[in-house]
Amino acid sequence: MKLNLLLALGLSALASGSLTAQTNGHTSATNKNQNGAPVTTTQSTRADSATVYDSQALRFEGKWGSADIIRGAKGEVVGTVGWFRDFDVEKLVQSSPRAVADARDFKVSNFRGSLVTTIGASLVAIGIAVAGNNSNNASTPVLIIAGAGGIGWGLNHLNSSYAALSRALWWYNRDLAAH
Amino acid sequence: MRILLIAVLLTGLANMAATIESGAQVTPYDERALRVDAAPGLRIVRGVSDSVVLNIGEFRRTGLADLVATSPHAVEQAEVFEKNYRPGSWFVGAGIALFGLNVGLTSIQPRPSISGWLLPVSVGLIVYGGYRLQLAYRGLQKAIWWYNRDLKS
Repeated sequence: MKLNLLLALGLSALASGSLTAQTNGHTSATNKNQNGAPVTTTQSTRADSATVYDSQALRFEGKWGSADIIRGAKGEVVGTVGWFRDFDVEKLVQSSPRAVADARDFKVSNFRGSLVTTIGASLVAIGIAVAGNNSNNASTPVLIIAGAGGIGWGLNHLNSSYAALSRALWWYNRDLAAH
Repeated sequence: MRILLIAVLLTGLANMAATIESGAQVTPYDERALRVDAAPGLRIVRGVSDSVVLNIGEFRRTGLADLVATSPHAVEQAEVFEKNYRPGSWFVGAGIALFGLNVGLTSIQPRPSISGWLLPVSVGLIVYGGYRLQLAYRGLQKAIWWYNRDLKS
């Protein structure tokens, strides 16, 4: 009976070990470090994770009202967002459900922010042009103040939209290791 | 046969336990990874809990380099941010102030001669400040990217 139990334990340990090796990225048997010595599973998993991050992780860099989405350590530009650009961030981060939700927030806020900021800037420009024509038009201060308000509101929305984009990319990068 | 049955049961139990353990595991990325968040200004938040670790004001030293000190690449980029953020903010601020002054002067008749060069100077300051801020934001994003990257290695 004891022998049976020991055999059963042995078999289950072997089976568990094999499954764990598979889920950890089939690394432990073949991975070696530069000296040729085998590395531990944890080390190799973290190294894999860093490698995936180096080649796949996203970030964005602002560029005069728009932003380039950049992948990996080499800095490959995968798309440009902002100011009425319609690059599909949701599709880009579709492997992470939480990132997709934030990408949707980004899209909505960015469109609203861009639209209202543009309208605000146009009103300010018209107000300045009217004032520059030496015409004492009563609408001038109204136009400038309304325009400045629009710019403020729009920039606030743009700021929120880039925070949502930052969150989306954070979640995407976070879930990279899991795929 | 009985041995096999027990082995299968034990394997199942072991795997269930392993799954529960790995599901509950909190990774360094979950706990410590940073990102930029929107506040009235800029702020840096950490981890899934979004705890605020740094508020970045427009006109004072930020301390970003200290925050990402564990990653050399991140520190390098944080210094780019520190070098450009405050000057950029000052130039844009001055440009906006002069622009406002110019708008105010347009309503005065006869228009003072100073208003002729106020507009180009204010636009120049805003553009130059915007350029410096752009460099700063790039540094900030890169610094955070590298810091988070080094959490995974």
